[in-house]
Amino acid sequence: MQTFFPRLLAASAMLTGTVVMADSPPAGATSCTGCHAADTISLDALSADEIVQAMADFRSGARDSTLMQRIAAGFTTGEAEAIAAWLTRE
Amino acid sequence: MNQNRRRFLVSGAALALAVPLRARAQAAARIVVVGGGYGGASAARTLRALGHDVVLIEASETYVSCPFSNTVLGGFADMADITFTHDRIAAEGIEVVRARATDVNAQARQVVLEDGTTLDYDRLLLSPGVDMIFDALAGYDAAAAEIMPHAWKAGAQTSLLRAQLEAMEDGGTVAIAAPANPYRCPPGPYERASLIAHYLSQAKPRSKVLILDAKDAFSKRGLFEEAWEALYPGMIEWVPQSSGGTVTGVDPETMTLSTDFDSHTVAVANVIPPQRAGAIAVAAGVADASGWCPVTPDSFESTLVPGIHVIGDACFVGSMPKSAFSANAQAKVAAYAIDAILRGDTPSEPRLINTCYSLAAPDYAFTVVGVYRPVDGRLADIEEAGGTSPLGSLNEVHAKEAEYARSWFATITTEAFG
Ligand SMILES: Cc1cc2nc3c(=O)[nH]c(=O)nc-3n(C[C@H](O)[C@H](O)[C@H](O)COP(=O)(O)OP(=O)(O)OC[C@H]3O[C@@H](n4cnc5c(N)ncnc54)[C@H](O)[C@@H]3O)c2cc1C
Ligand code: HEC
Repeated sequence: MQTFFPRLLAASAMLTGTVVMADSPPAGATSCTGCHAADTISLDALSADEIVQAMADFRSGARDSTLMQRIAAGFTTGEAEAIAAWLTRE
Repeated sequence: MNQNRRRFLVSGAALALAVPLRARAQAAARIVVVGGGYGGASAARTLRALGHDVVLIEASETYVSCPFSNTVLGGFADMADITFTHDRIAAEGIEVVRARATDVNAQARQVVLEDGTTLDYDRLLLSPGVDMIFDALAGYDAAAAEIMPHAWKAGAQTSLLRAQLEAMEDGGTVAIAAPANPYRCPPGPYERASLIAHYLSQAKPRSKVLILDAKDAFSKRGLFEEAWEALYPGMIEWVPQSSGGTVTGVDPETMTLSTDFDSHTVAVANVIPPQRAGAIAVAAGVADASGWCPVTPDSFESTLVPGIHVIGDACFVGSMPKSAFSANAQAKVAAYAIDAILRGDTPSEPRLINTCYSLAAPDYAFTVVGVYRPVDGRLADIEEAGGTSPLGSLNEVHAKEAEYARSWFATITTEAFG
């Protein structure tokens, strides 16, 4: 998101004259942090691509999980990409 | 999040002229949050991180968590493990007002406290949780709850029920009266039955747990019954509504619970009455005839009174269950939506997750998951997602879920209380 979000913000703000969703996280992203934090099930070591891949593998069942399969099934690859970008921003 | 905001402000500086006047005029909006539980505390912290002026009104000195309170009843955690303060929240610059809010004047945009003080708001967010409907069961009132605790608000009620379990003689029956839907924490009564059985099986093995239920089905039933069979064979009996399970009245003096067909005299009675949104929601005019508060899924703004948002157990927004997980997820969606509204933007379409962990023993847990999106003004389940842990899982999987349950508790309480 470091590279993606500010550019999006600047572009859309310039174009429309409003600050569009400057801080709005992509749909679903804020629910992830109910379980994932630095000192619990941390995602900090993962890149955005690795998060997207993990979500795809959970969804398909290629990767075993206690519950991530049931969560990942609620997000498309595009949605997972947006969430991964937001989770790895800064 | 602070970082994010700061970055926004930096990149925003160059764009200052592009920001509409209205958004700038409202930049220092004051948001009043009533209730410092899972919903209110999470929302207050998110709004503060987004740079807003936040006042949090909370009646209690400390917050005792219902999630994991059943582990105290089970005898493998202490009250201290489930007790939190709002000190770190206050240190983050949120003004914490220790008082009960008694009224809301939506026209004047003011909250009234019990001592008559008024607080102005630009946006009001209510997360008051539930109130027990005491007159629903004949003979059950606040005084009866001192003998037959509900322990459905954690704190003194939890300690009381635990003390009663400890004092009980071996061979006694512990009754749990479970309410009809909807109520706070659908799997909660059955987790409680499990963990009380865990304690009894070790300390008082001739005792029984009797669940008298006002419904014929319950959350994760197959998983609970599988666990009871494996862990506590013969100890837990469930009487559904259709077999006369509905408790219609109680007599604390004789420790008797009456149902349609029967009466049960027991050693310990945990009576969980029906519930409704906390009183302040009713005073504010945001609760409807159902006792709950209808809200829009994008912003959790009341459909009855504009400018007031309701989250957590008190709100009705579709199929999301009343859980701490939901309250926290809704808090973050509502906070970003309020931020957007104050900037003159439209809140974006949200997606929310709920997960309820239930412990059947200290090292045995399972989950129900839901992923929700707005459909026709309500949050609806995404069909392909969600569901429960599979039946017939290995014990090591249940042990892993119990570990993750503890990890969830640590994460969510840190998000809410800092
Ligand atoms: C036994 C049990 C087990 C549970 N286990 C789980 C679990 O494992 N996982 C899970 O996700 N959920 C669980 N829950 C559900 C969870 O407790 C609730 O869903 C959650 O607390 C809802 O949060 P809330 O913010 O809506 O209300 P609450 O957490 O109840 O917070 C409301 C706060 O508002 C304050 N308040 C109310 N009115 C006023 C007023 N007028 N003025 C000032 N302050 C006020 C109250 O003092 C309280 O602190 C459980 C519940 C029970 C009973
Ligand atoms: C209810 C708690 C919970 C929620 C909510 C949750 N996760 Fe998870 N996550 C887990 C658990 C537990 C695991 C370990 C795998 C398993 O057993 O399911 C995990 C594993 C992961 C992993 C793999 C981590 C690694 O080290 O390889 C990723 C990536 C992930 N989750 C992403 C997400 C995203 C993105 C979201 C939000 C859309 C999310 N999670 C929401 C509990 C959760």
